[in-house]
Amino acid sequence: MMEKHRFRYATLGIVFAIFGIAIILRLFQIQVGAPNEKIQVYEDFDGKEWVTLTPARGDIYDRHGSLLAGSQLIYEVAIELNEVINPTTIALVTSVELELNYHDVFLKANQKASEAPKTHITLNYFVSYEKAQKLMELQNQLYENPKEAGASNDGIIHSLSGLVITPRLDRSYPEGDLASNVIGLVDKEGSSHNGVEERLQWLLSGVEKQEIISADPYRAMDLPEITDGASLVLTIDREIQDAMEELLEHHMGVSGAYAGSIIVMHPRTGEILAMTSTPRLDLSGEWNVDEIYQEGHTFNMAIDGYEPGSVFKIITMAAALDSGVATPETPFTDTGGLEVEGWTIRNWNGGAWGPQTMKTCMEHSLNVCLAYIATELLGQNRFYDYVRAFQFGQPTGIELAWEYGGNVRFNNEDDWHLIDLATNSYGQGIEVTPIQMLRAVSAVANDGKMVTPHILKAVINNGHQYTFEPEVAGSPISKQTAHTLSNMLAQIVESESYTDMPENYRVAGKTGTATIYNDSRTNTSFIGWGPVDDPQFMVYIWLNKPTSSQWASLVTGPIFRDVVERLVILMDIPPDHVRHSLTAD
Amino acid sequence: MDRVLNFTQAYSQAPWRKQLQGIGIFLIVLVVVLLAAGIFISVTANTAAMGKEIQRHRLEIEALDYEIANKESQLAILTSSTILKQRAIEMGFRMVDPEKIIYIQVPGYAGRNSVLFAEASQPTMVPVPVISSEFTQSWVDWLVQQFRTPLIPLAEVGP
Repeated sequence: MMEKHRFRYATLGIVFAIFGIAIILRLFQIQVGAPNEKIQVYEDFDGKEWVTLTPARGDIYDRHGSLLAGSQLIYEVAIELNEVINPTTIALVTSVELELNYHDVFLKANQKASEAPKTHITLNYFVSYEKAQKLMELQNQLYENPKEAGASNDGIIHSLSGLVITPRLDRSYPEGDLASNVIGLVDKEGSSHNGVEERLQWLLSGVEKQEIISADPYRAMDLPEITDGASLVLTIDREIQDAMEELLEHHMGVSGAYAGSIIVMHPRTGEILAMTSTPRLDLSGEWNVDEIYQEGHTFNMAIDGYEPGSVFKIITMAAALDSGVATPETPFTDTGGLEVEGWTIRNWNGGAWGPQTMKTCMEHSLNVCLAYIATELLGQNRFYDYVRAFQFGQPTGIELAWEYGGNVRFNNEDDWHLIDLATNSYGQGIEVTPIQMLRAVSAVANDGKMVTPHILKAVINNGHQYTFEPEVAGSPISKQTAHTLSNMLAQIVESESYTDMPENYRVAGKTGTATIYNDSRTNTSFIGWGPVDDPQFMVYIWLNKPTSSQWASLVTGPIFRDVVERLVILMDIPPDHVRHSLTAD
Repeated sequence: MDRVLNFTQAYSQAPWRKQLQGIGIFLIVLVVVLLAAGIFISVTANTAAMGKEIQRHRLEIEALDYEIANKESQLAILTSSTILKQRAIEMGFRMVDPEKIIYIQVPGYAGRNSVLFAEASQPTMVPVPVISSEFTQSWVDWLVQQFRTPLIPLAEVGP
């Protein structure tokens, strides 16, 4: 019986042995021998790869939560050579949908994965949401039913396999050009330029990380966490910003100015409620910086320097009143000229104004009078001590990139001359920025306390909101001086016909017209605030080279009136008598 | 002596019974090993499946984050200043005449507040729920831990 089956057992044994040996040989070949071509592609892939983890960029909001800068979904379209089935389909579809060159794409997609320098080839890094959706639909259609989706009858399978569509976030600016001079921008390459985007890049961007990512499911929990960028709440009020931009555009047209800027600040807190500057970029569209910003244009005039002209007289008068060398009623006889180091200082109209007081000197904006105050009453040391106390020559530190620090030639510098003291007293020969002027004059509006202008209200990070408190930059003048000067400047506005202020609002202010070196045109400015007894807004206006008139009283004065008219409505500020009656109740 | 031999023979097991016991013990060991292997395979397979699930969910979270950011931007575009202003004009709204504004005092109303997106100011320590390792460790992890943990705490071994 056993003998009978011996042959069968032996045969079966040999068959099993051959199978076993074959399996062992195959295992040996896989482990030691040259890999198959398909496997060779993945030869370097050990389930781990170095990946750059880019955190989501933080959003930027206005003070009431309107999104000024956020993120939008866009796609990267690439070819993964290992998975390409039909390069013709890929070339055809991408040439039609993404307007790429058919021949170029075909050559890229037709490479052998093992011979190509890299297997992942990017075709377009900025494909819109709509186009990417269309590509994905087509891809699915071809995957599910290649014949119905247009496969040819020649047996060739049309497939978009190997076309990789990867989503990613790109910067978006829903408000277009609104506050673009404040926000700045992030370009397509991801670099930030100007404004808050550049200055607070370190907060907004988060920290990019290079990590090894494992495909091993047992290591799923080891995936690195990255912290997204912090979001920012700005002090900007979208409605006020929009109104100021509209007003500036209108008055740019009326005055024929080359460029202009309006800033609205809360004088008690230093919060910038609006800051506009021309020209502006529409951040939501395509633009060419060189076409928009021509010679003499800057991204944000509010932080750029210029000779301010007569608005600086506020500083000179503040110094005179605070040091006690003058009172509003101190007399001065204007002869129409003041000799300083062989130079003659003259008034804006070249005339002699006769007997004046400090109050009327300011009212008529007399250069001769202010130069006299600086040279004869204050003297160089006291004048520049006040200039230092008002922090001219130092940037304000506002959270915007490229803030200019200004240029003041102090009396301890070698190239300083006495004529500098005379011209500086009425805002010539000194370079300041509008934001520096606001900081300095906030002391007059704010009981002698100078506030630090800021545009960042809060930072939202890791589920917490950190709000910034107002900062006092210094107290260059006393409370009494501030009140006296405030009243002087309020009377100036009341006496001037150009202002024609909205009724029942008492505001203070001063115009400034400055000549431009080597140019017949002027820089016209206005600084003003109100209501005088409880300041809620402070406005700075600068129009560069207006053509309708060279005088600030005719150019920036009417703008201030329009600004106040809009602000009192937008900020819910009742007329003075109503406010007084309401607070008295 | 014979009595002793007879007694031993009477109580000793038959050879077939010993073989059966041997086979039984072998089978029990085999079953235990198979059970352990089965549990091991089941646990590791479940862990792998869960790992894949976690990886999939992470991708979903990322996709949803992208989608949310995109939707927020779309919403902001629809409610942007330009579009709202245009809609207001179309609906017949016009700029208010300052003379016609009536101001009334509302007790307790301090005006429009600034936005608060998150809990304000100082960060606080949020207690993180601690899951016992018994619920997170795989069987292999547990074995490795047992091997690595000295039976006597090292502090007690010193001089």
